[in-house]
Amino acid sequence: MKDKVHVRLRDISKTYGDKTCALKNINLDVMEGEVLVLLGPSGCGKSTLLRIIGGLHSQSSGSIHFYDQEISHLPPEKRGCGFVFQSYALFPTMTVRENIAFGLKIRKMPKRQIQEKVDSLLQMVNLTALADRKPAQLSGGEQQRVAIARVLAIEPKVLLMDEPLTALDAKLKEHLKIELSSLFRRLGITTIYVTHDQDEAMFMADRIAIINKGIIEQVGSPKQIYSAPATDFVAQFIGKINRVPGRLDGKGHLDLGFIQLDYPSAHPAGPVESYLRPEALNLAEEDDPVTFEASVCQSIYLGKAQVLLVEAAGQIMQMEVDGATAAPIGVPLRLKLDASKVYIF
Amino acid sequence: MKKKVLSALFIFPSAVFFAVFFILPLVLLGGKSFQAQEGGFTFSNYTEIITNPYYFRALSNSIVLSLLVTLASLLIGGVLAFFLARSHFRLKPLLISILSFPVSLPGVVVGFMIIILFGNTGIIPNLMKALTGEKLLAIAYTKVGVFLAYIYFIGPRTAITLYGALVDFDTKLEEAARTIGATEHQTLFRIVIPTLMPSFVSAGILAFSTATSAFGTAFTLANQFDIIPIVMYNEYTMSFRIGKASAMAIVIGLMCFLLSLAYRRIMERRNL
Amino acid sequence: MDIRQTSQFDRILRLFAIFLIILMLLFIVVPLIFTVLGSFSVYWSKTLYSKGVTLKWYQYIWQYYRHTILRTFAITSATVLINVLLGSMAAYKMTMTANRNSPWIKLAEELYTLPMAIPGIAIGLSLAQAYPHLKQIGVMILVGHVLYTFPIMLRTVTGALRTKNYAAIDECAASLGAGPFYRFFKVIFPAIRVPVISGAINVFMLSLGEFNITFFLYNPFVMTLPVGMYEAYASLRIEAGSAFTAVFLLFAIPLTILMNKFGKSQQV
Repeated sequence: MKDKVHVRLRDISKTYGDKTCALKNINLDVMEGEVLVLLGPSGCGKSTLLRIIGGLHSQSSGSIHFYDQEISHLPPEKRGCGFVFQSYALFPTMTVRENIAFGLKIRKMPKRQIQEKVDSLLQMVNLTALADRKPAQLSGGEQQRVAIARVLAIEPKVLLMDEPLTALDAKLKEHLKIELSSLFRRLGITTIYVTHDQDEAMFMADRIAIINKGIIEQVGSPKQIYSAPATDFVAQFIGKINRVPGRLDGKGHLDLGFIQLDYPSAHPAGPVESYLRPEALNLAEEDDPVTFEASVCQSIYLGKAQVLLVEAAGQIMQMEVDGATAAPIGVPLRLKLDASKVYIF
Repeated sequence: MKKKVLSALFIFPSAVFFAVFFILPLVLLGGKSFQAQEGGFTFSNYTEIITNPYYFRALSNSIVLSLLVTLASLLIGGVLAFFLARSHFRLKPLLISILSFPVSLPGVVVGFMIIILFGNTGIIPNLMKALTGEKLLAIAYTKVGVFLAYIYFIGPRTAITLYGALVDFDTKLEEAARTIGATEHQTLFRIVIPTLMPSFVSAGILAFSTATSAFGTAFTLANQFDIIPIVMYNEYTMSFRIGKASAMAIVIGLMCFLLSLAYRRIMERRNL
Repeated sequence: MDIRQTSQFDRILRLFAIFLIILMLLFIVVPLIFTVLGSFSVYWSKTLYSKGVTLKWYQYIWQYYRHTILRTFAITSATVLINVLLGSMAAYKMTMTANRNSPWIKLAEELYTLPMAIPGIAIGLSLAQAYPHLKQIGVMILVGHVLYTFPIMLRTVTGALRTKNYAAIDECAASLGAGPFYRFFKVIFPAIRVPVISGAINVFMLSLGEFNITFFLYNPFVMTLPVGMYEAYASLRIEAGSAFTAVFLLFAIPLTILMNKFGKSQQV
């Protein structure tokens, strides 16, 4: 099911009147039924891209296809996308029920059918009891659930979500995150989901597209993005990472100052920036062949684990150890480094 | 104790001022409105506004005029506000400044503007004479003239009030409606206008009470067309019927006060 | 939304809106321009364009109505001064003191904003009847103007005091030992001077153009510009009326521009 391209973007660019470029030649295929998350810092163009797909912005150039049909210049109401906004955008003069029924009324569905459909949607988002309230009387989480039900009512071919959880407080967000992700799996609607929160992205996504300054840096599963970042931006944006200057000798070795690693690389010899995840650093066992010594500068106890800031050859790095490990400040530790988790771009 | 006295000094002067120059005169006005011309208590000052055909015509003239002005202002103001809020061009700030200018003009000057335009020697009649050979549209001193004069300052004021509401309007609502299948016109009539209804109603109330209480404009264009503020002034200065004038002042005052209460209720509910 | 699907209907609607705006602009601006033109003309009645250029109407107005112009500025300035002081003091008391949420304070605020809701002619008539002697010496015009513009000043200042956390600043100053007058004049007042100035311009503008109340309170010796203008319109030639109006516009237009500027800078 997930091998058919549903949304196909080709060379999408957006340039504003003052020549600022919001998007540059975006090419992206979204598979049928998958949840694709557009992730990036604020102002990177991800929301603009989503709005272009939904028809709320027009692209400066490029084309959009849903399956084989070009929809590049269709008005939003003809695209059949459901759009969920960060600010919910519920119609304030209508009740919850009327909000959900709006799209169906526009489609002139018979009253009976509307009633039934709205009832089942209300049940699905757990809001049957609040059906006759006005949006202003609902909490943020409830409002967003209404917005989602309103969009699902029209049975959208593509679901577009623009930071739907960002305006909610942390606890509610956690809760709705789980609800949404199971909803996506159950309905199997092709979904494009914009967020700047990487935890949320990891949680929701089948695949993630990392966007920075109007271009796509990498597209891949959450695991690929984390364990095989394609660019230094992705490496730094996703998860924690230590940046350590080093030197490649051109013969398959990387010298980080405090340790020398076997590191076959296509890069030319010379100074490089290398990136290593905290989990690349571990306490050395007796029989490990290549180790180095580092002293603990600071330890932050988090319960199950503790974060250590260690210093080796003037380089301060972050690592994680078990919460029970004794790591007094100033005392040297013997560490090893997993070369497969060291990245050079 | 000393502290309390000190801090009371902040509000004391204004409180005394209001007691002496606002509350007391209004109470006296209320008293006068129940006083017969020869002295003694009477309701006739009020009942006569309805029973006396001269007063009643002035009252109905006032109400009809104000209603027409309100409707026309909402129409003009609504179209102008929509256009201004939805389009961007370089001269927009200038346009808004020009529109907001008549709002701060005294009523008499507004009346004079109408005389300049539609007076016996005004621009339009002269223009008509040049075009058709006949002096047409010298309507400054007619009902239409008063109506136009009210539009001159109430129209722009309504436009600016509605413009504010439209600029604050969350365009995401329109986008949401569009994406779930509504066309531009369906969105306008089913979402934008119903959501902005309270703003329209309150702008209308404001226009109506401004029109009923406007005095200088009508007075400058004074003629055979009698409206309540003019009749009230004439009763006071020419006929010295203090009781009648007071009763009319109370009627207009109460009308405007109640409308302003309604206006505030609407604004408060909108902000919920 | 930057999508524009312009249908035939939309284009007609748009054209109608543009037409209406142009009509409204002409309606507003044309008489203003002709007023200024007419004020310089020797004779202006039979034709669109006026004949000759003269300053005699201005001389005439200056000769006979100088006192109204000067009087107006005296009254308007006094109104602004009194309201800046009374209004911001009352606003301070109503928003800052410990009992700011008491029903009495709420009632006072309702009362203080009432002159905006009641038509000027009702206020004018009530004042004229209550204090006929004061009317004769001409003090009542000032009283009427203060009353009429007080709500604007109060609203501007209470609005400013409520938007930022001035109550905390005030309490902090109090806890450091400053008395109420010191706090008001040295701590709060300097901090809110921009809204106070914008309120003051607003008051000046309203007072300058006030007619409805004033018309019940003036006497032949003490009158204001708008009342003078009314007299001129009723009894003088249209050229003289134009000159008088032009004098008024000379003050009103810069004030409006200033007011718009202030309105913008306050939003930033």
